[in-house]
Amino acid sequence: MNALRSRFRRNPDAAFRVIDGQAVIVVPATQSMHTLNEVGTFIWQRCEGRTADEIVPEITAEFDVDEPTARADLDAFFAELAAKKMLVLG
Amino acid sequence: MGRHVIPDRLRIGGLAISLPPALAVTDAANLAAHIGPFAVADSGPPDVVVLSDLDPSADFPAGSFRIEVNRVLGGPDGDGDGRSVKPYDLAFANGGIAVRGPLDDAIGVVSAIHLGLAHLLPRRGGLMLHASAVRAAGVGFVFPGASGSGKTTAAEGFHGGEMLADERCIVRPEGAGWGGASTSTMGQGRWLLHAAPMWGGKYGPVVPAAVPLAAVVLVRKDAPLGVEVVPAAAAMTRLAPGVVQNRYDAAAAEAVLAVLAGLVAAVPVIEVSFRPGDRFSDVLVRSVRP
Repeated sequence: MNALRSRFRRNPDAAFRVIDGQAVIVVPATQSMHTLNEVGTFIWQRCEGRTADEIVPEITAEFDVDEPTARADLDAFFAELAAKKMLVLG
Repeated sequence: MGRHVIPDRLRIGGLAISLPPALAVTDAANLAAHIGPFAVADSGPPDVVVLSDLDPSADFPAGSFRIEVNRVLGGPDGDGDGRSVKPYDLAFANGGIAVRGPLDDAIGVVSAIHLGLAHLLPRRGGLMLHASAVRAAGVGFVFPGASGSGKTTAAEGFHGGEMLADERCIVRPEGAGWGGASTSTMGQGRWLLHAAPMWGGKYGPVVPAAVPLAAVVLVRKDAPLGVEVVPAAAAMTRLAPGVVQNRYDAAAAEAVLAVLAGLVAAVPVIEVSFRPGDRFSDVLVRSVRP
């Protein structure tokens, strides 16, 4: 899945809170709860209505990661969040 | 055969529950033994109104939703095979909840009570947990977990503790805020632990006490003795499967999340590792002492 140019939104039915720097997300559709690590939370807080292309520079500015790696990881991350119904295509 | 009176007014987890008067069930002695300790003479306006599906004249609030309960397992139908499934209708109304379903035996009645409590509690700032509970040194310890997780072993092995419940417990903030205040204050102050009744069978009667909640204890069986504080975010994720809630929508998800966040902010969540025979309770009690 190439999610880099897709525009994502958080699932409007999901609820989340950031606890101790980690996003905790409840997804009613799957009756599941997920916790994101520091990087995942950073992305989660910036993903609303944006594309991966727009977020990659913010990741490379904040974390010690090169752009190709950030792009690949973000693509996989968005695909995983979409599969778990935490994100929807907007 | 003696006549067993089924109470029609209960108080469980601080909430008032009304049942139809003169309820006729096939196992009256069993039901009376399990819900009888929660009977009150006058519980005030009910938070949970339980109605029989046999009474077509019963006024039922609009906006209801249906939950199917597996009568074999005594819980929401999980296997989808339709075996022994009974429908219950629920509706929020007047700040409380109404439940309508088959009340022909203890499982039917207690399932209705559980459904009402599980759905109303998060909106009031509390939670129903699949958990065992122990009282020791005047405070309570709750052990959430699925069947086979070791929660019963841990609760039974709690040296000097009195088992309050083995299957369902309620946790909620103490004080005037209970029942209507903003959830923004839930991370402060003391929380209370209540036992909730079951329907008999392999479940014994419970002790209807409310005790200050000292810790939420996550059990790790068959590991070297140890006690470790679980960070808040991890605690929420690990506690979530133990929350009794069988119909999530966005509002329900937000309510449960808010209560969990308040709980882990106010009450230590501790993982206890032990092997059979280990006396973990002393370490646990010491770990939560101020």
